Amino acid sequence: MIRTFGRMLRRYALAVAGGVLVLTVAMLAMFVGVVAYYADKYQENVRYSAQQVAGALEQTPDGYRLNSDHTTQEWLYGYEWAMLLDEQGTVVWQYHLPDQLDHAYTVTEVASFTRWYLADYPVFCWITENGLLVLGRTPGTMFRYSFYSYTELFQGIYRGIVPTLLAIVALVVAGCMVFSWRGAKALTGVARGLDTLAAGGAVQLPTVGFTAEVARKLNQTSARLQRQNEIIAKRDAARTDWIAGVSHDIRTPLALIFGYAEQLEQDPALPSDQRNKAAAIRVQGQTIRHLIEDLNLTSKLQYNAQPLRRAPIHAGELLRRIVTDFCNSGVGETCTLDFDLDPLAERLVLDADASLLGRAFTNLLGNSARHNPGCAITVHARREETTLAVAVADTGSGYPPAVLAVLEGNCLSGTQPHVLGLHIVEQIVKAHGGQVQFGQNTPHGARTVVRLPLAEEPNSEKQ
Amino acid sequence: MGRIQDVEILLVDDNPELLDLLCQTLHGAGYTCLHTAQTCAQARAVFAQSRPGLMVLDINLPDGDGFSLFRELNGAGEIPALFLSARDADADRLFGLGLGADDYLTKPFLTQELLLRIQLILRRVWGRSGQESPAAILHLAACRVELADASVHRVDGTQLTLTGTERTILQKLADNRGHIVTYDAVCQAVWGQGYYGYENSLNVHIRHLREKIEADPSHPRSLLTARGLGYKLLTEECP
Repeated sequence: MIRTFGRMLRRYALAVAGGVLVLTVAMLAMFVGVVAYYADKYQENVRYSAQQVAGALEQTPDGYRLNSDHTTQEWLYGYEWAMLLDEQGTVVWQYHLPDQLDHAYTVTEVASFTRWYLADYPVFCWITENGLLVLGRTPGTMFRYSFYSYTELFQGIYRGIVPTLLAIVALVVAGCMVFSWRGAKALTGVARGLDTLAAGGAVQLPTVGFTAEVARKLNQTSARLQRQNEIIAKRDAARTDWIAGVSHDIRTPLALIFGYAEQLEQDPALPSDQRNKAAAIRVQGQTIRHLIEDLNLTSKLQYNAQPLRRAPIHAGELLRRIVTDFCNSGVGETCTLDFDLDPLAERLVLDADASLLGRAFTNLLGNSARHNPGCAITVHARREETTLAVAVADTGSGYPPAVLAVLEGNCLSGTQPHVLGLHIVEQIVKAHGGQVQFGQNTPHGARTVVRLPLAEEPNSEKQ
Repeated sequence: MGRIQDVEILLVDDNPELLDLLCQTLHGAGYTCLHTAQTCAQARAVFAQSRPGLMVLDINLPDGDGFSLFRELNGAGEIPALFLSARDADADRLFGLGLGADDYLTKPFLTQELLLRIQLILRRVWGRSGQESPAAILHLAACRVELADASVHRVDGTQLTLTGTERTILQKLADNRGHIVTYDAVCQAVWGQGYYGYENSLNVHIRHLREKIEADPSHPRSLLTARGLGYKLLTEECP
């Protein structure tokens, strides 16, 4: 959350600073633009200021006149009229002065028009050594306003401007922080909710603040996902239960078939062909039992209904036990079996469900023996980095291409080959976090490599 | 009681056809005193009248379950029991054995296997007071071994004695005669858990054992090596 907050704060601060900068630049540009525009316009309207005109006014024996640098019209370009008042308020020089203004001015009138207007004419005044020069502009073209204030007020503004600006900046930063913190808090809640949803969990976020709408949508999505998950879980459980139920219910009738077939098989009073038929019934009954057990196990593994009873076990001990059990079962009595364990792999520790792993390897060995009577089976185990690699190979006919295709996840048209036993191998190895690779042996036969992750090795095992 | 076949056996299963099959199989094997029950109530009634020497119990029964029945009937004494059930989950098997049952066999089963397991339980529990177990005498290719006093009687008439370790090794192999026993299982029988490092000692003991029980220790005919796996003991009665 702190990281998100920091990121947001940085973005807000940058955004605010950027905004202020852009606004300032824009305002300055506008101000400069406006000033330049009107200054230019003023320049066009009035060519010389009151000071310049006053400087050009000179006294001659014939009276006053503007010097000859320019013509009078040029000097007074932009002004309606001009006049010069002497100390007594009498007009001593004038230019296009309206008749109603051509009179002597009292002190009161002079004081008034120097600050406001003279008969609606905006005027510019300049004090010269000869008197007061007054230049009149067209009424309605100028705005004049007199401003007064206390000196203390300006001193106060001068002293307080820096602290006030700092306080404003501090307030803006604090506002940014509060806003960022609240935003980060709300967003962190939403982010956590998304993580929980992604992990398959349920969320119920508070629907307040500026993330209320997002939170509401997330809550709705979560509720919908939960409903779907419940439906899927119920369906999976029903399927697993159904298979487990069938598997359970079929056992007692199969026990009867087994028992009586066995009795007939061993009855010396029966002819040998009938005893052989009874033996065939028993063998096929066993096949049905294995198929049902496989079906039950694969369904439980698929829907995680098969608990793994994992415990640390040494690779050598486990593999020897599995291979020995297979040899003792008599399934592969027509085959030769070579077990080769790399001495370095002897004491590797696996965290495994020994019974289930035994089932996986027994399926592989049984496959080789059943499909390839008389073949040579090899079981080679060695360490490969952080895994134990066990290769089970035979010199038989190898996996049919259709079986390999199905194991690789390809869908075949027509009848699918029977791969339940190998599928169980795959499921058991995956449940242990390992990988299995089905392939062909050279020059012929099947070769399956099972790679199982190693557990942490105990420190004080060696005696 | 002279023979283990004279032990009274109580068979409890809710399926009458299966009870018939069990009775036929056990009768065929010479067992004479069989009681059957299809419910817990019937089992209690049989139990009230006679005290069976072995119980074969199903788990799913109409008026209760085999686990509770076993706890109830076995409360008084140590009666051996074998669960025969269609429930094949590890949890059920472990629970049944944890209650103190001697064995747990899942349906469908081979009747020969059931007979062997029943025989093993009865021999272990009742056979001690009866005749000496035939397993105590091993008939090997070059000698006869009496495990009780660890004596080896060779065909040339000489008599040797096994050391304690050699006797334990031979006993373990004899218990699984005809089958391979892993190095691990043999070492564990002799030295218990944490046997690692004793493999070389085991080789030495096996060599000494062969010198005593084989005619030609370099070409053993009774105590065979399964390369990379363990050892196998072949007795004269092995197929």
